[in-house]
Amino acid sequence: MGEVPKRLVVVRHAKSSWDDPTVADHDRPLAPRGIKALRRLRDHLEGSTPTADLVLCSSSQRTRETLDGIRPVLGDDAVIEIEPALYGASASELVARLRRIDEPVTSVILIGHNPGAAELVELLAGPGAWEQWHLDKFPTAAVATFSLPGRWADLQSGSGVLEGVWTPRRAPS
Amino acid sequence: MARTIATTTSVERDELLDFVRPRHRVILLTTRHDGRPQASPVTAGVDPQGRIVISSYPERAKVTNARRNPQASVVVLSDEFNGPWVQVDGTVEVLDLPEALEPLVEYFRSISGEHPDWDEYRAAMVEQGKSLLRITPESWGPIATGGFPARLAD
Repeated sequence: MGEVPKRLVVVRHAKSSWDDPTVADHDRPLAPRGIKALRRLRDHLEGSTPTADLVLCSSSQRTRETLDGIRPVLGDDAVIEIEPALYGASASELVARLRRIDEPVTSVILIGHNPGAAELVELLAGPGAWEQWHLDKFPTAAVATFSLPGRWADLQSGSGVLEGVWTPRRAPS
Repeated sequence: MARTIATTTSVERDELLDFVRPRHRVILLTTRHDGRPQASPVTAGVDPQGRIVISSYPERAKVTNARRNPQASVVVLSDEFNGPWVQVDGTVEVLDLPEALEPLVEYFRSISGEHPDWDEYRAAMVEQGKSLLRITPESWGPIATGGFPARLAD
């Protein structure tokens, strides 16, 4: 019997506030427009994503506020890991983290930052991922959904099937 | 307890900038149309060329004042209100978008440090229609600390 395909949902945090330059980057909160986008993000995830087994979230304020916005649709059984190492992680560091996921886990949501999150999507999907979806980057509060055949430990460049990219700008308001 | 005596320390430009660079609590003084001063508490940085930079919006009174009269002063305070401070006088330029965009990046970087995703910051600045005030220091007072005059020392 073959491996059960995994599902990976990569979420970039919603729009953050740059109002106070004296606040450390890690601690910058969401901007009012970012908070507004959370409802559309939540609605999208509720309608498109099966219940997550595991949520990996960067420890930054803006990713945690994004997590709080979608928490109502995550399901009661989701294990949530807030990880400082995901803040500022490169694509290869994100892949290394995903490879360490225990095999019973089949559905993961990763909430992170650019450029790492955008590069992760491109690394898993292969070059041209953004052009395929008529985007030139991974916008804030956007979602990239992957089907991943094989084991987490075997994750590598080009091993994902990018099934969809959603952005709040394209969603009905 | 001994009384604290006020001090003044004259400094050259490099010393001045070394003092200002880590301090971001600033009172900006511009001139209203009736000639009276307008004081604005702002967050300021120092750009790589040694100019004092302040982020604002084109509709703010301080920006309107600066366009009318480019003479401006800042009082740079320490994080502790009773810490050392300095007044700097100079000429202020107003930069609007798109010219202001990269100087706004320098402004934020001078206060907050490096950041991995400046594109998000640039997009936010464009969305908000920000402007930048940039003051070239021309004269400055001594770095001062408050306290009693020396004649009242115990």
